Amino acid sequence: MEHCNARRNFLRTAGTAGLLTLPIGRAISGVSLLAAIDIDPEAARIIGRSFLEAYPEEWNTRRLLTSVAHVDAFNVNVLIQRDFAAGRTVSVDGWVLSQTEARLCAAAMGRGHRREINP
Amino acid sequence: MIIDSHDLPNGHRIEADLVIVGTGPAGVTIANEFAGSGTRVAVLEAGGLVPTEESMDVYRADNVGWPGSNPAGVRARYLGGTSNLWTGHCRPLERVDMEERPGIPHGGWPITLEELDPFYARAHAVCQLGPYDFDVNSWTQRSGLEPLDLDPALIETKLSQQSNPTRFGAVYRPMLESAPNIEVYLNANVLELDSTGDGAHVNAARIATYQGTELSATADTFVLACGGMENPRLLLNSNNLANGNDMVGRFFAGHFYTASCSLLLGRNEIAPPLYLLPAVPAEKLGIPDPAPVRLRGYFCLPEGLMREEQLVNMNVEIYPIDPWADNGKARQSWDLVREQPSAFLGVEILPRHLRRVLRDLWRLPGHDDPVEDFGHDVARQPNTTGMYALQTYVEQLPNPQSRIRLGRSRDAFGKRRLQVDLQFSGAEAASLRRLYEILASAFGKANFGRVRVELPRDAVQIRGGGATHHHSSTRMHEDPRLGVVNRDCRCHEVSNLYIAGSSVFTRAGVWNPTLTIVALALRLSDHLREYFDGTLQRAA
Ligand SMILES: Cc1cc2nc3c(=O)[nH]c(=O)nc-3n(C[C@H](O)[C@H](O)[C@H](O)COP(=O)(O)OP(=O)(O)OC[C@H]3O[C@@H](n4cnc5c(N)ncnc54)[C@H](O)[C@@H]3O)c2cc1C
Repeated sequence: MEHCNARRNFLRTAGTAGLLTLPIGRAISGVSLLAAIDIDPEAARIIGRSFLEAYPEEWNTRRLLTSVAHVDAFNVNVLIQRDFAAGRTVSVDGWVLSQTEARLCAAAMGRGHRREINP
Repeated sequence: MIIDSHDLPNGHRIEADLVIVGTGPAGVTIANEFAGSGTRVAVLEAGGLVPTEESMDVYRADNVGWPGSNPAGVRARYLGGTSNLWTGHCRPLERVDMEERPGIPHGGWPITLEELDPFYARAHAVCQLGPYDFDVNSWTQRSGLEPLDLDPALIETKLSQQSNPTRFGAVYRPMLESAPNIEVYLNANVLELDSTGDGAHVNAARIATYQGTELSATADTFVLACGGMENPRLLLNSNNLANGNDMVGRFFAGHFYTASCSLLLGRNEIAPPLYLLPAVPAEKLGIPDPAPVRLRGYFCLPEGLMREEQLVNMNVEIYPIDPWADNGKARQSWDLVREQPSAFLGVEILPRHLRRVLRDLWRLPGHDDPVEDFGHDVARQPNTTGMYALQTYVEQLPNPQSRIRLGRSRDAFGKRRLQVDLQFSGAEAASLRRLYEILASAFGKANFGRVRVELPRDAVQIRGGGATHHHSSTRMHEDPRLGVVNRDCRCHEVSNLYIAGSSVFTRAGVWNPTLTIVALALRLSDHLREYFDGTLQRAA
C-alpha cells in the first residue's frame, strides 16, 4: 500500500499543473526539483528508476534533460495529454505513463541515482 | 396449484398440453404467460421450496477445462432456480453481439436485435426493473449523474439496471399457486425424455422423486428450462436426443471476469458516482413506483471499434480498492448466507461470502435501508487510496471445442453427471490487452488518473473467475450442423421439443444473460400460445 501511495503522490503532482510551483525546466537546471514541484521524492525515484531500467536507451543524461527542457508548469498537462493521444506512452511497472511524465521523473532523480542504474 | 410429488403414488401419470421443465426465470416466465389461458400446463421442478443437499448434489460435475472456476458450482436447484442467487444486473444484448462479424466465427444469430426489442420491453416488467431505457444521456437528464468525459471514439459509458433482484420462485409463487390451468410439481426430477424410435417426437418425461417414486408426464409440447448446463445434460441423458449432429453441449461458454487492471486517481479526482451503483429515486423519474432504480455505469468499447479491430465485447466496472471497499458486498453475502444457508451446499462461492462477512462483521448492523445493499454503500465510502480495480467481464468467443459432455460418474438417480470442458481460444486475452491499452489512453487523454495493467504480455489464458452465465450449449442456428434449436427455439430434430434459457444463445456478448433469457422466453411463449390457440380453435 505504501508503494502505491508513493506512486500516487507522484502521479498527483505530475498530473496536476496547479501543484507545480516552479517550471520544471528551471528546476531541472539547478533548483531542487522535487521540493519545488511537490513530488514525493521516493515515488519519483522508484518510477524514474523503473523507467530507466525498462527503457535503457533513455539513460543518456543530456538527451533526457533536453527532452524535458521545454516542459513548464503551464504546458505540462497538455503535453501529457498529447502523449496519450499520440500513443507516446511507456509501461513502468505496469503503469501506463506518458513519455513526458516518465522522463520528468527520471530527470528529477538526480545524476547520482541515475548512475546507480547505469554507471 | 403447487403439488409435492412425494405425495403422489408410484406410477402416477401427469397429463398436460404443455410441460415446462424448470422454474428458474425461463420456466416461470413461460408459465406466467400461460396463466389463465385454456392450455393445461404442468411445470416440473426438481427441487422443493427450499434448497436441500440431495437436490444440490445432482448438480455436481467434473471440471476438466478452464481451472478459473467450476461453472457447475454456481447454480441453485429449487423453486426459482438460480434466480435465488443472482445479483440482478440487466441489460439487453447489443447489435454487435448478434450480427455475424469478422473475427467472431459462427457468431451470427438467426434473429435480430430489432426482433427482440419488444420482448425486452416486456421483460423489464417481469424482472421488476425501471423504465426500458439504457440511454446514458436520458439517464443523465433524469438523475443528474454524469458519465466521465472520455474520448467517445475510444471508450463509451454504457449502463445496466439492477433488479431488486427478483427471486422468481418467491415473486411468482402466488401466480403458480392460483392459476387454474397450472400445476407445479415439486421434487420432480426429470431423468429422461422418452421419444419415438427416430427421436423426432417426445412422448413423455420420466420423473423420479427423492423418495424413489417414479412418475411420468405426457404432453403435446415440452419445453426444457433447466438452465444452461442441465438442458444439454437432459438431452444427452435421453439417448442423445436432438444430437444427430453432435452439437449438444458444444459451444458452451460462461462469461469470465478479471481484475488485471487498476486505476489510480489523483488527489483532486473522484470517481463519478454513476459508476458506483447509484440508486435513482423514483420521484426523479416521475413514476409512481416508490422503489428507486439502481444503475451501474461501465466503461466499454464503442461498437464501431469492436467491429473495426475484431475485438470481443467487454465491460469494465470500477471497485474501490480500500480496506473497507467490500462492505457493501459483505452485507449482500450476509443476507444470502443467513437467509438461505443451504442454497450454498456444494456451491463453491460459500467461502468467498463467509470471508467477506467475517472481514466486515462489525459493520453489518444498522444497514436497514435496502438500497444500501448490494454494494451501493461502496459509493459512499471515502476511498483513502484513490485506487480502483477495473473489473472486466469478457465475452467468450464461440468455440465448438468448448463443451460439456457426459462424464463417467453418476448421480443418485443413476444418471451420468456432466464433465465441463470450458475453453478459451486465446483471442479473448488479446482483446483484453487491447482494451486495457485503449482504456489507459482514454483516461490519459482526459488526464484522469493513471492505469496499471497487470496482464502478462504473453498471457493466452486469463486468470480470473466467473463462468456463472452458462450459455450456448444448445445454441440457436438456422443450420442444424451449427446449432440445436431453430429461430423459434424448437429443436431442429424434435418436432415438439423447445428449449428456453441461455443455452439457446448463439453467442452471448458480454452483458448479464437473464434479461435476454426472459425476453426469449416471452417470445417463445407468444409462439406457443399462437400454436395452442390455433389448436383449440381447430378442436372447437
Ligand atoms: C452468483 C450469481 C450471480 C448472478 N448474477 C446475475 C446478474 O446479475 N444478472 C444476470 O442476468 N444473471 C445473473 N446470474 C445468472 C442467472 O442466475 C441465470 O441467468 C438465470 O437464473 C438462468 O435462468 P434459467 O431459468 O435459464 O435457469 P435456472 O435459474 O438455473 O433454473 C433452472 C431450473 O431448472 C430446474 N431443473 C434443473 N434440472 C432439472 C431436472 N432434471 N428436472 C426438473 N427440474 C430441473 C432447477 O431446479 C431450476 O429451478 C447470476 C448467477 C449467479 C450464480
